[in-house]
Amino acid sequence: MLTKPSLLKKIALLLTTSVLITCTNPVAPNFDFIEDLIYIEGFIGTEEGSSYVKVSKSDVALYYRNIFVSGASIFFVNSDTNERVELFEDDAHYLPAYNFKGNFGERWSLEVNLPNGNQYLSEIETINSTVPIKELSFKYDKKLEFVDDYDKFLPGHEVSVTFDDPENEANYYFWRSKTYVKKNICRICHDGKFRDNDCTKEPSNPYQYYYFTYRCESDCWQIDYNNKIFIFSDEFSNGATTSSLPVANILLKSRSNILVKIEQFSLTKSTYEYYKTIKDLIENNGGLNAPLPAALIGNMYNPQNSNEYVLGRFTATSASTKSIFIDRSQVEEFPIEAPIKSSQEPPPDNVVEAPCEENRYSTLIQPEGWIN
Amino acid sequence: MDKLIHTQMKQIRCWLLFLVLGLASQSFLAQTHTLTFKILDEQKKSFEGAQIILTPCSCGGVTDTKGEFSIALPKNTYTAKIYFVGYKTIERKITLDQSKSIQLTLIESQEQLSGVILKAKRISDRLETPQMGALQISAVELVKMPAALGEVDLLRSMTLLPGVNNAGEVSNGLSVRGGSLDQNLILYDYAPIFNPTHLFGLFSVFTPEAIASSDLYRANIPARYGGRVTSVLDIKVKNPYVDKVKLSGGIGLISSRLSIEMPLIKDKLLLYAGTRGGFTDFLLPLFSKRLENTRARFYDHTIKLLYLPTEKDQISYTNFFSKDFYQLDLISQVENINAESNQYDFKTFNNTLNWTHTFNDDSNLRTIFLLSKYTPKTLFPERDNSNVIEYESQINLLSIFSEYSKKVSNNFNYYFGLQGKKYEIKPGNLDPGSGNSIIPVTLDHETSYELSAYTNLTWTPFEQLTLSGGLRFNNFSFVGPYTKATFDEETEEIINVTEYGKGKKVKTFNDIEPRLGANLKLGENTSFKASYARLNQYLHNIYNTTTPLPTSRWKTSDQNIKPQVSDTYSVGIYQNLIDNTLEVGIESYFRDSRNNLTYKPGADFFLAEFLERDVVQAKGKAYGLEFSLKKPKGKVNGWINYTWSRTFLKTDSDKLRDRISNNQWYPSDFDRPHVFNGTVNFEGDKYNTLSFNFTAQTGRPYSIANAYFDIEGVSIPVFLERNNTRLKPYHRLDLSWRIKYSKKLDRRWVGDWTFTVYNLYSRKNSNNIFYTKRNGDINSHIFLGSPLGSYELTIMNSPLFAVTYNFVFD
Repeated sequence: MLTKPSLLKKIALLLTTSVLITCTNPVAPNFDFIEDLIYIEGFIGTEEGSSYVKVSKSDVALYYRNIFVSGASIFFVNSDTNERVELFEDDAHYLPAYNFKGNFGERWSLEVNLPNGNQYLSEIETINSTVPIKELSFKYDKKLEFVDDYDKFLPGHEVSVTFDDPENEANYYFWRSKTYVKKNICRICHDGKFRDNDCTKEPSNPYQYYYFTYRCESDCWQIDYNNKIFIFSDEFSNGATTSSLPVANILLKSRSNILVKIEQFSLTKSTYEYYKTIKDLIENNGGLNAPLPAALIGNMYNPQNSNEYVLGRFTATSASTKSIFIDRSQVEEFPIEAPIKSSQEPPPDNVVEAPCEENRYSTLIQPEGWIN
Repeated sequence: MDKLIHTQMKQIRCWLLFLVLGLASQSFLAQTHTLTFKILDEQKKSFEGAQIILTPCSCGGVTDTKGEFSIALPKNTYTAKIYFVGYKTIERKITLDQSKSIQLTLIESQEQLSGVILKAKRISDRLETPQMGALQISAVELVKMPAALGEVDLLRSMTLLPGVNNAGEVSNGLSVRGGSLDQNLILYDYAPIFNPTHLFGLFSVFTPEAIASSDLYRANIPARYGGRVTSVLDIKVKNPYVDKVKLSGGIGLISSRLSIEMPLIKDKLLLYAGTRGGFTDFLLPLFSKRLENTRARFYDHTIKLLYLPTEKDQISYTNFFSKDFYQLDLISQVENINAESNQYDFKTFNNTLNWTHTFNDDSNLRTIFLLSKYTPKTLFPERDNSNVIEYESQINLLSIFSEYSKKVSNNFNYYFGLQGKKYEIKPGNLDPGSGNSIIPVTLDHETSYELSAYTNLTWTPFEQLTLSGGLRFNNFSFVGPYTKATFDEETEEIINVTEYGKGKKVKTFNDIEPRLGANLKLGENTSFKASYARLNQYLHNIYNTTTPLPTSRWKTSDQNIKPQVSDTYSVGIYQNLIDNTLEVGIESYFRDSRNNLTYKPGADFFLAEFLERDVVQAKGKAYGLEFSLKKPKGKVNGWINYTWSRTFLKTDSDKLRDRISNNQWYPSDFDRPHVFNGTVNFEGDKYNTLSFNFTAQTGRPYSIANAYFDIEGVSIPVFLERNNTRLKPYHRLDLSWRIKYSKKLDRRWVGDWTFTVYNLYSRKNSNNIFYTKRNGDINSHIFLGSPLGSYELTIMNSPLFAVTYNFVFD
């Protein structure tokens, strides 16, 4: 016998054949580019090697691109001691000496002098003390997040933090997460083979439109970065313990075990507002109450021309870090991405392994907290 | 062979039968007479569609556009019954011994009412007659209009009128002549409605059966209205002038409704009560996967009690209550409250007490006391426990006004009145419940008083010219308790605070608003109208999105937020053509406005103590030309209108980051250069009414990025210009088919089925286009080399079929 709701559902289905109330469809992205916009991103961290500055400029001569501005003279300026730390150009970045790091309570600003004579300064940033992460936890959710690209809710783990917010001060938080998953395949070569530490294309490749996979020579971990913006202000919870606040969504891309490293940053109010704007631009923009888009103007300015839009910002901050290991072997749902099918070179003279690369997306150093 | 003989015999039999019948009919026709009915209404105009039943022949028909119906009948004595819903049934005995023509007049059924009620109704009708310049949708017209999901909807129907628009399929109000949603005052039996919609803006809160009339004033706004800068939508609840019980209602997929009108004490105390509810949210996931976690329920009721203590006094009390609850993934969450979800719960509670005293046929005194309370709440169920954090705000409006009106002669009438309002706004109260993760926050209540005096006179110096002149004076005061903060210009940090005690005046505005109108008749069928109106707006809805959430904040003017001001000039020419069967109108307007509310980029108003830091007041200009053609009567009736209009805003901020489009004029969210609406009703027979509505307009302006840059590996769009492009054009065709199935015309129960199709040809109209992060190669054939993906949000993008059963028991 039909229950009342199921009967109504059947009636509704009958009456609403092929009806969709809401729907998102992919469309070609549309832009109205402006040339010569300056974008400056500066960062001072409390760990050695973490500080950097990037300067780029929009260019629409052939197609839109952001060109790295080379030859600039750049300084971190300590506002209390007037110490000037020079940065040097290195692989499309400006970097200070490796052993440079900021310290709690220090006040810094950024000075950028471009080759064309334009100067850009930042407002002063204070490095706030870090609030430690008290606890990390995770929870599996079959419908963790709706993703337009897949047009459905995707499964995954929600990682949450618990922390004690310090009393008598305004605190602003930002979380960045990195995930480590053990890799089996360290290299994939399309239209060629792995030789001399690289994929070499074969002129008369009999395997065109095919690929070869190469196992990792040693233990190797793939690093991924969560690209959602997680921020929090204690404006309604000053001095309270904040429990189980989600700070990372780990979508079920595979069932392999995963280590999640959470960095908890203490921001200034203006930096928090900057990240809030980014969040509105890229995450809160698809709903019925989408905020009106805002210019991503931070704390940089041109002292000679107050009417020039200077995009980006300078941030000086500190972070506390904690990791959590998630065993995903018992998850029942299918991963959202199909695993890479192994395809080894046919013998003879076949190569089956490749070394683990050490870069932003891969490491052979076992991450702290990994459980074998 | 047998078969051939059989066929020939059959043909002979058929021929003989035809011959016999032919002879018989010749004989029959020789004895028939023609009976012709001519049915008129009380104004002696032809009555189309009256139903005529004759016995004993059990025959009849419906009168044509000339009000006529003819039938040939044999000599006999017949009983004729003439019906039309809402009119008194006529019954006549007719001896048909020769061809006859009978003329009869149908009288509205209210005319059967007692003298006391009839007189009260006539006074009310006279007082409620809209002033010059109103655009009207009558209750009868409203029912004909097709709407989404079978629901007759006042606000959606209003958008079919020239110059009236909204923010899209999901819009929490009306935009009139390019104004923002909060610049249109919506009154429901005199009490303002702060949130006029249910279900995220899909339906308006007004139960169709409760509506007596709806008048929209856009240009010549009478002096009795004030408080919003573009327009006034004045909706009146029907007065229950009845002497017996009348039930009406409807059962639909989305909502069901029931109304009752009845006398409680004969000729003394009369009641109207109507209610509507929608509890079918469990169906929503069938429509879209995105709506899986959606909960949406609503309910509203209107109760009106009419007391007639004497022949000269009428006292009515109207109570309106509306409540919504919903949870929707398509709404971004409030930041900084750690909750499982955000749920929206809001209610309107309005009360109007109206005493009308009639001195004589030409003068009346109307005194109205009203209380309008709007309480939006956001609920935050905490994670991992059962506690619910509540955020609540409230607007309390208390108002009293008294208006004397007098008709001195047929050429001169006037009214004057006094109005007092008290606004009490509770901007926000955050209640942590039993939990301890949130600290309680209560923002200071805001209190304001508005005293207004107004007068309006209408003078017809000669037959061709009617002039109306009005003046409204407003004294608006914002009083303490209030904390005035001074901010550092660079850092925007508070550097000084001044406290104002309870009741102490913080800021006062005195404003005079002239209202002028002229109507010049140029010949029998042509008239020229011109008007000017100045309006001030002291109450503002604060939101930094394309359409406000029901929970968005309201704020009265104070030291920092100046009243919005507009000057609207309008001229128009109107002509009745082809024996008054067609009405043509062309109207143009220009509105110059100041202090329009816009917001600094990235503004966030949730529980913000000092809103002024994020508010920018902009100059505005709007202009347009509206063309309308209406055929109000006939089997095929309807209207078309076309509007060309523009509306722009311009900020004037010193600080670069506070500027919108670098202080250049930019199109407002409601800028729609071309709008076309067409509605056609086919009222072919007594059982079927078929209506089509077509609307087409330029797409809404929205912003596309001027650049993108990588931040921590994610491409972020950069916007320096606002509304620098448009969504694709919006168009849609709707169908409504109303079927009266009852053949017994004298039944007290009259029902009809309304079958509607919204968006008949599946137009995928954009609600928004937004950028997304790329997920690998997904949709790479569409996104190509762009580091950002892009999606179009569409709402109601397939034909939306719905069926509703409506009934009247009279």
